[in-house]
Amino acid sequence: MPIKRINDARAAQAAADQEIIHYLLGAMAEAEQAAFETRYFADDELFARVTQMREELADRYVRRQLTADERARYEKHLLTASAQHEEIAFAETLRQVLTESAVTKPRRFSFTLRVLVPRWNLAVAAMLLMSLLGGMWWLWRGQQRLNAEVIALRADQNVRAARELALQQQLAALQPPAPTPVPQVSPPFQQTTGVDETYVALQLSAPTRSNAAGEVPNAPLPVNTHRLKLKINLDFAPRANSLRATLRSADGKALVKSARLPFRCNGNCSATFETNLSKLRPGNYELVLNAIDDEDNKPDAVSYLFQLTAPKSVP
Amino acid sequence: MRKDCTLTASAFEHFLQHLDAQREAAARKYLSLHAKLVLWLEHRQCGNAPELASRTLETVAARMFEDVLWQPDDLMAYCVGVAKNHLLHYRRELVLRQASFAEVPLHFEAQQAREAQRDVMEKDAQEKRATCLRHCWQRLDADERRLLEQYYHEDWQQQLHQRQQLAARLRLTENALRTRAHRLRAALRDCMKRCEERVCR
Repeated sequence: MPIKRINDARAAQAAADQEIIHYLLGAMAEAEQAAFETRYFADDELFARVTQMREELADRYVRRQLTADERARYEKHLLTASAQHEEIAFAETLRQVLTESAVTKPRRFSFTLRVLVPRWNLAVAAMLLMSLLGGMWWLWRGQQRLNAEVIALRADQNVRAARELALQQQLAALQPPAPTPVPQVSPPFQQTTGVDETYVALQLSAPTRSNAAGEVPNAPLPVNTHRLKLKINLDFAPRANSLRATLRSADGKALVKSARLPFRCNGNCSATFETNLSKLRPGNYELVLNAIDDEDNKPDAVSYLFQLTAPKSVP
Repeated sequence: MRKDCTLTASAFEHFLQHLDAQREAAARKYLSLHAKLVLWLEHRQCGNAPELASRTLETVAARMFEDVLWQPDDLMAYCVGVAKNHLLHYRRELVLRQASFAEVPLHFEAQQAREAQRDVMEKDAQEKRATCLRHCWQRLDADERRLLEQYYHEDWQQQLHQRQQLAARLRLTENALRTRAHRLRAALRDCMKRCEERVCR
């Protein structure tokens, strides 16, 4: 339906245009012409169409789009008016400018050709870019692989350390107590019973950085003991005002942290660490001391290993 | 026939008042009537149509001012009648002028020299026109330029097809597209004329 309506409108428009062309080319009978003129004097829209068609005829004339008969009539009838000469001159100039504009514009097919023609410089640039991206990807992959290996090795190391510790505990449980104390272990500076029943005391001397069997000072845990007191003989003079102590279990878990641990230096330096025994069980422990300077930095860190053994029955 | 072709301001005002009470609307109607008379006269091969159309309207205005109580039954028809008289008069004058020129035949060389000079002037004018039109073309919007480029085509059938497609693309009727293209064309032409006048000054 819309197509039919469009076609009808086109047909009506074409008929109206043809009537105007007939008039402009002087092809109408006198009576028809007079009637047409009366119409356009009264109808501004029709007059506008006539004016447009006159311009259109000039454009078609310079583009040689008129039939031979139309062309002959145009030259005989319209070209006699000076205004129409101007119209023709303008139409010619407009055609020239439109042609120039079309020539200076890049055409679509030339663009397509430009795309199709191989551009070696572009290809080389693309290859370089690809190589660069590939190299970056390869480096990233290598880094990822190394990270994964480091993580796996650390996990393995932790497992080995835990196994070794467990073995040492088993060995210590199987072996009878050593007749003489290990060199690094000093005798308790306080008796676990008698003087003060609430303390178990250990004296730690040289820092033990490794947990080799037999080098760890140990103390039995009495049943009615509530606190642990560790006297630490420091084999160095801390470059700090105070120390910070952290008590860790064998698996590295921090159990106790002291805010500030004072120390004294009378020839040799020593400090005393106290904590509640309620959370402690027989096993290996590590006391880490951090020296703290005025700006709360931790320049030095020393660790001491010790062992708490199962409680002995009190007679 | 022409008692007085000098239109007084009062007569002109009276004529405009007759065309429309609103001054702007009256001016538009005056110009429209003038343009229609120009077309009517050009259709009769009048070489001086704008001048004759002006003279026609002056005559009508003067006649109406002479007798303010008189009004033509049909102003358009009356104007066409007056234009016919002016055209007859003009043609008679033209015939007489051509006869007087014919009495003094031009020398062959002089005629050739005049034609050569006319060719040179025409070429100059064409170059000026083209320069001015190029300048005006660049002042159009890109969309307007594209519309005109697509509106015109060297092949007539191709042109018709192209215009249908263009109208569909711009969602215009073909008639509206034609009006828009002709407005742009008219604007270009006005711009070119103004430019030519500046160059000639």
